[in-house]
Amino acid sequence: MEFGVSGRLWKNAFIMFDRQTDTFWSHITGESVDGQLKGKTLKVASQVRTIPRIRFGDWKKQFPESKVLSVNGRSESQNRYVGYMMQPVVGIGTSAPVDDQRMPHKDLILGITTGKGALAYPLETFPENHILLDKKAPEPVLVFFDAGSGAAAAYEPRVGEISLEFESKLKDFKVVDTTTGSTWNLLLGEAVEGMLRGKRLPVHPVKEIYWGAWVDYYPKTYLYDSGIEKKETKIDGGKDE
Amino acid sequence: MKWIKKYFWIPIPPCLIAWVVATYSMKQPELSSAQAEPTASGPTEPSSSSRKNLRFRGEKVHSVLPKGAIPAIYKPVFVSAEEAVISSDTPVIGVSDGKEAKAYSHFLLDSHEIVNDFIGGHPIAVTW
Repeated sequence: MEFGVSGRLWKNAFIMFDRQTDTFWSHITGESVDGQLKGKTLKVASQVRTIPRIRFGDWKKQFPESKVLSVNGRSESQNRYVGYMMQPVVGIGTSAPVDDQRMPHKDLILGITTGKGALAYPLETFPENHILLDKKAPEPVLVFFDAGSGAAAAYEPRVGEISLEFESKLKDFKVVDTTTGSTWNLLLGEAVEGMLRGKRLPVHPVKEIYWGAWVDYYPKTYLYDSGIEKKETKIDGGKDE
Repeated sequence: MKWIKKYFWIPIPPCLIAWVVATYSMKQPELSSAQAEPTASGPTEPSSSSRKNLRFRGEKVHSVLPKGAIPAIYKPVFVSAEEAVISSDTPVIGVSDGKEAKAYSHFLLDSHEIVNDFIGGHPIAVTW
């Protein structure tokens, strides 16, 4: 199947069409919205690992042989959406505002969908350690976010039936699991050193998305409690900037 | 707030709901029975009126641009990381199967939204 842009929006996200059947597909959920294949859902490419956002310099350092998309001889362009982030409202008024007061709607979260429901991790959760092994979620997840490069990913913390524990420090996108002492590259979810070398963690594709949009798609989402309010008070009280 | 300062290199997010990327497989085996090859006349286009007041899960599907007005990329062109005309600070989508790696600039994808591509022989659609 090949996909194109339909020009339609549903819940503030674009609808794709496929060239073979002209079915409409939601970009966010992969559900078919209308057409011959209505009722089906697109499969996420599980063989490849996708980092939604990373500073090019950091990507190149990790993958010097990487190819780079080029259009008309250039690999970048102008940012066309200047100013949008400054508005407190999500979307362009084509959807009804969402009734949810758990967090400001334009706070960014990492959104994950699992077999046991949707999970949301505010970016503020990752101030220094970058890595979170959340065992309170409906199923355990390993989430990482690195503010310097912008990179994020999420995995199931296990190899086969073996559950893994991890150190909290990330170095050069690598982390050590304290269960076997193996070193993992978190951009790929792959062990690069140690007894598990070559093994991969099952991946959860991550979306970096406004809370207001996420809760619109997944109203029953689990929201990780980062305890950030307490932390902010502490920082404000402790620093004399 | 301390962490906000760290984000200053990040340009303003380009799409309406932030950095949403999904990499879909273009091989959809469970859909294959219903899947038809494109014919000379193209796919059967449902009349525009039948999709005029389209709703899904109780919410209206809005028509904001003509179909294809944002041109998806069907035959992507790549250069090496050395040759690429791109700044180190530019945010990209990074995709890899562990052997082959590809980077797609967010700002380029603003104008295209979808790249139909292959990585390590896997047909994928990188969608932004």
